[in-house]
Amino acid sequence: MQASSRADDILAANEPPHSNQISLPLVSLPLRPSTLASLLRCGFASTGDVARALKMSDRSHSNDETDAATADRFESQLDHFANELGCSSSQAEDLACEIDDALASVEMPRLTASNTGTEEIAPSVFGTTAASILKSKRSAGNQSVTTRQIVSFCMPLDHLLGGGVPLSELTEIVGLPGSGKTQLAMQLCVDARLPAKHGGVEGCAVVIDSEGSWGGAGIERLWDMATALVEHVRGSARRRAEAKRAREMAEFGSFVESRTEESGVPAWFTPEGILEGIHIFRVHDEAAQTCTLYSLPQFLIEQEENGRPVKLLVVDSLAFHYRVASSANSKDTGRKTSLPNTNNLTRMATFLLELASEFELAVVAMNHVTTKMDKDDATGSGTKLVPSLGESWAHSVTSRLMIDHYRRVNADALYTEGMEELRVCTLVKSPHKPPGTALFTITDKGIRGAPSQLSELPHPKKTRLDI
Amino acid sequence: MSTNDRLLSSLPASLFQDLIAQPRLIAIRAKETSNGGEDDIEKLRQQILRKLKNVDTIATVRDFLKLSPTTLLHILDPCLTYVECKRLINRIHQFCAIPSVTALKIMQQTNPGINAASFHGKLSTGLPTLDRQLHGGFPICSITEIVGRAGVGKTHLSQQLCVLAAISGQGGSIYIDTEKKMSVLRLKEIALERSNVLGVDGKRKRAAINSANERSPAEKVLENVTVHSLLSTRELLETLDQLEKEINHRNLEAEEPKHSGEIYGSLNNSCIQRLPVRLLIIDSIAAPIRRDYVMTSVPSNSPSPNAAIQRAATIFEIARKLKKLADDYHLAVVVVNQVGTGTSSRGGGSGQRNDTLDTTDGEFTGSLGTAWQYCISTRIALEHEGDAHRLHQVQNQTRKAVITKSLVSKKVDFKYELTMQGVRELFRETQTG
Repeated sequence: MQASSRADDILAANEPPHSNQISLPLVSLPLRPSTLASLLRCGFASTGDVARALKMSDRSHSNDETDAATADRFESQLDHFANELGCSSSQAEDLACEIDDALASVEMPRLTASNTGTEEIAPSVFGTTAASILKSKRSAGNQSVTTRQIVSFCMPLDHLLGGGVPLSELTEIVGLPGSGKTQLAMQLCVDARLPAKHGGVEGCAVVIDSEGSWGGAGIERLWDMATALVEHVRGSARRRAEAKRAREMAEFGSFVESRTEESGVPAWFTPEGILEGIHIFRVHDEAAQTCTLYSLPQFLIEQEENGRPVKLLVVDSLAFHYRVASSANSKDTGRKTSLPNTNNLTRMATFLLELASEFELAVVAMNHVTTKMDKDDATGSGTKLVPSLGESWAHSVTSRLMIDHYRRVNADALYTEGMEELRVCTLVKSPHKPPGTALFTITDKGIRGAPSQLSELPHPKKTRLDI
Repeated sequence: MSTNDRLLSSLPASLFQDLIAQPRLIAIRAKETSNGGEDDIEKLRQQILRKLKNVDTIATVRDFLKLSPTTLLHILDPCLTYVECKRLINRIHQFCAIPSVTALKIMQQTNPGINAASFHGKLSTGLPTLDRQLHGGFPICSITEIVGRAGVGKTHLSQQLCVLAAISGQGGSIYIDTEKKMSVLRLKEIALERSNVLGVDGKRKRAAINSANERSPAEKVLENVTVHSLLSTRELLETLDQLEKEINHRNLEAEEPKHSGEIYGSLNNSCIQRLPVRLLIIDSIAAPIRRDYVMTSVPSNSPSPNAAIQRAATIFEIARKLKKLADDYHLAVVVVNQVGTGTSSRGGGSGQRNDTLDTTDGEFTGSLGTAWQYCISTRIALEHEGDAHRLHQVQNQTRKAVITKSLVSKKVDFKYELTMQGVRELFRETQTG
């Protein structure tokens, strides 16, 4: 079975060699060291060499060759290759397959099929003009089904972000303990469930919970927020329906017909329905976190097939287990081992970005703040506050938000009622919007824009964090 | 068992099945003769494990996950090709992945009647305002911190939690005492006083109890509290590792009341009702860490980064273990913390944060720095009204408690005092009157 399919490849390879066949040096392919050694020893330096060796034994053939004949020919090719390498034909087949697989993994045409020369270079190789991208985005935006952002239900924040937390992007939320990161994430989870009809993305949310905040009390909080959202949506829908009815009354003097569904809100849109669409993965150590994240695509595909696509992925928080791990390592070996972790972290960041764009979901990662030694610090304490996980992570994220208590950023401000719950959110990095700040409060109902008496307060100029 | 420490050799053989598309290649690569079928797969498995162990001393899943496919390719040469390496990594990812739970399910499990004023999933603190604000008390499956200065009543409150959990029949407790401050006598006293006030039958009277009953409420409490006394961080980590066994054992006993197994505590009466473990108290977390990790903080000469890193590492490791215990066994974990003093450079270096009590903001820095504060979900700060450590103010016994971090509550404060019954809230009426 395997041999015959391979034989088809070889069959396709039997066209005259094309001039623009690409020959890669073997050392650039992810091959087993032993494979590489044995090939190099026998004088094979590039994929072209191997391709030639496989074809040397080719006899002329007719197109109406039977399967058996094809297999035979393949055998003889491999025999020839094996002779050159000085190994058995099954080993030769193994090596040929490996080179093919390696080529496929770097997205090059398979060795034996590369010289057909018939296919044109795909137009996608050339860039797309910015204008056409914008056009396609616009047209997608016009259809109400594909909203590009998750609305946060907090006006200043939505303004700051240009409409909400963007899909297909990686947004980072940094903050000191107790600043409201998890609460904001919970609000976003609830908001992600908002029906498309009401301007939401109507998706599910996935939470990777490494800090244990999403159980017990956290779920109660989620429930409160969900209840508030449902009430809000139903309330506004009812008002709209009433306004419409009033208009109709004025126009026609009587009811034309009363709508059967009282508000147009989907039946599933209840607090229970919202919570049912929030999937929580509670991970207890770094290994579990890594495994769970890397195997997420399967879950996402399943959800999509069930018609319940995931639109938000919250990692709360990415830093926790990495910080456990990095310190545990240094304890064992006595040396600072942040470097091996950087590697893993970069891989993770790339993976999250890919996930975001492939499944069109918003990835929100929480991050800690850590104390960094700084010799030339102005305050004289020799330390400064920086987001943890380091520089390479900072480059990976699309947008970075920082949350802090208003009172602690702007200590001189006069005390105003409700100030304890006032937070300032700073957009530090974003490809869409200029940096700025937004004030919000944490209420019983969730994250909301600051009430009028507080929104007048001066926005602080800087954060406590050094970026 | 944590995924981190899972041994690669404990992974099922099915992960290695069909790893190589053509099984006959396994033998060819190893330059052996094939025995066919299962045998080959087992051989491949052994070979991979051996290579991982010999080449790079990789034995656990955590170590394995650090490898990139290319590194793995070089280590395993010539067992697997690049594509097969990637396949193996993927399979291990999928095998070790954690299944998901929907939020609705968690809510139904921990909180069967959300709308009713039922206090499932919460451990009452005996302080009405606190209970109301936290929707019933300290939450299970999460970590709560009690922070305050010396003598403010942290230990009293934690002992009271043990008593109330046992009296109400919600569960037993484990008390990890790192400061040698746990007083069994005080525990008994609170138990007696509280059971009189609450009444085992709900009667609210301080009547003379007959002799058969006399020790019973207190005994019920004491029988359901186990105490671990330790001093060093290493001991603490070890104890946390062993707790799983103890909890399992006690929960089993609770299920079979007639089973007269090993008896915890000092009393020999085994007919006392056993309760499943619901509460884990560490009093205090700061003491061992402060003892073991000396943070020399000369402003110009910052503490050696290694010491700081190790300290943070230990803190996170403890937190990780606590979280796992809390989640696996539905425990309410209560951690007592001291207030940071002196070590100013650990405060965060923001200049606006100080390490002494900041009563206007109702917030002050607990010891252990910011790293620890990420690890807790709820935080209760206890303060003296005025400075109790000044002699002439010894009369003023009123204290204030502030909820400074919580997912369900706003920042709320209330006054309390320490009495025979433990920690008792002072209501606004009594304060004004």
